[in-house]
Amino acid sequence: MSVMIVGEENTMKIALTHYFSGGDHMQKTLRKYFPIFVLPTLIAFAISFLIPFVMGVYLSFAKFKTVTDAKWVGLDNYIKIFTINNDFINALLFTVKFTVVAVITVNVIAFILAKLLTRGIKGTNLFRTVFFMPNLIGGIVLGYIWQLLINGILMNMGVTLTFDAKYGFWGLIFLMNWQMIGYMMVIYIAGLQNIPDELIEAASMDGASSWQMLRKVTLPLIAPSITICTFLTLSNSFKLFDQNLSLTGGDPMRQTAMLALDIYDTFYGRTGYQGVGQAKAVIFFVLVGLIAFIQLRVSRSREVED
Amino acid sequence: MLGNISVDDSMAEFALGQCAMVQNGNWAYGQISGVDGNTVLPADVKFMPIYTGMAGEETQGLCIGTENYFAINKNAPAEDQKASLDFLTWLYTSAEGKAAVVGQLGFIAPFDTFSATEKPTDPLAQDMLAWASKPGITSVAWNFTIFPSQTFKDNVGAALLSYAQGQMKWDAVSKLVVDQWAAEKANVAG
Repeated sequence: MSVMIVGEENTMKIALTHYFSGGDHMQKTLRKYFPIFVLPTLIAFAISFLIPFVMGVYLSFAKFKTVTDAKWVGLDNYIKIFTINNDFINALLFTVKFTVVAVITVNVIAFILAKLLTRGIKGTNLFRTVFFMPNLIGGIVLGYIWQLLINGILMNMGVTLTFDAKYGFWGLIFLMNWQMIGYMMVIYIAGLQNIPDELIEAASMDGASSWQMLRKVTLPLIAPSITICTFLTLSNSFKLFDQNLSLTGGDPMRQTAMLALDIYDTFYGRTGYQGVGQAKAVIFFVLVGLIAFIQLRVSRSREVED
Repeated sequence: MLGNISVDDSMAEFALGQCAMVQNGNWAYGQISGVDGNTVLPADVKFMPIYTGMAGEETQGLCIGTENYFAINKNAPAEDQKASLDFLTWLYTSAEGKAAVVGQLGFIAPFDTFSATEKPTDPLAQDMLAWASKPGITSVAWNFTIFPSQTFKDNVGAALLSYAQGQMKWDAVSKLVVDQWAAEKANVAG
């Protein structure tokens, strides 16, 4: 059976090689029509990404109420971010704190669940589905539902989610975990299932303890999964908006507003400060890009090549 | 919980007879009458001034005014600007326009094109008009327009909530009001 498949693949390869290199005429035609084929995508990309992005950066240097009527003010908006109040710095600190805790908790719990659900326990598929399901619900809806639920519990202590910033913080962490764990778990399960049984067997024959096995065999081999999962949790936590808006709305006194919510509040909540909100958004973009870049570099270097 | 109560909640409590007093304006009557199972009689919905224990407040009336204005975009095409002006003139001078303002919007229009009978008939609007014409009573000016910004109001509101929940001392609240006023005035000027 397997021999046949290999055979088919080879035939396929030969056909493709012929198609691309042998057909010189074909290649010329392809090159000729390339711009036409790529044009629709290029137009869509320009309209939905390039133009708004360039406009957004331009608007961060302008004072405006409507985007078509903007006045160039240079770096004024960027200076105002830090001089009008401490909201941006506070939001940045809160976001960093949130991200650190969320990345650790989500990944550790997701990995433990993945470990448990690759042991062949009865009902594994049911558990996997159930854990994954929260990821399918929209953030705004989740935020409001959990606000009701968490407030219902906090009520017994005579407080609410927005009574003190610490309730909002842990509420957000809980919500993030509840929503992201299932997704990360699925990725970890895929990684764990790809570890060759021989390696585990060899390690146990050599007398490795389960801790050694985890440290020296499992973790290095699922490094690609760890890269993907930390990247996803990191960027999702850092950019969190919907859940923040609906769970606490930044209350009390903007102490639980994360960066995205602070940008939104500046842009829409303050007349005449649209440009400052835009400048915050540009800084936010640079931060997210920087973090993602560093994080990918660091974790790629730890991955095991096969 | 205090922090979770919305204006809708407090208006509903009032309409259902669960509380006797609530702070709001004459526009709230639509909200009160619209609550399901409303038990408050129209004749029982009244205004009273906010007495705070200051000297001379016996002659104080209701706080009456507005903080919203009609504005016309100077960058719009000239014919659009003229059309907007024509519409506003029609709205506040023609019989049809005035009927809509009074009847459907429930506004008490501050323009002399409205006669004494052209006022909303809901109990709160009627009571407000009665207060405004009481002899020896002076209405309180609506000074929100000189507040620095909406952000200032939001910050003061949040500080008052913290105070009510026992998390902020009164000194800190009054310091915040003074500091925020200065800061927001500067922000608006800059």
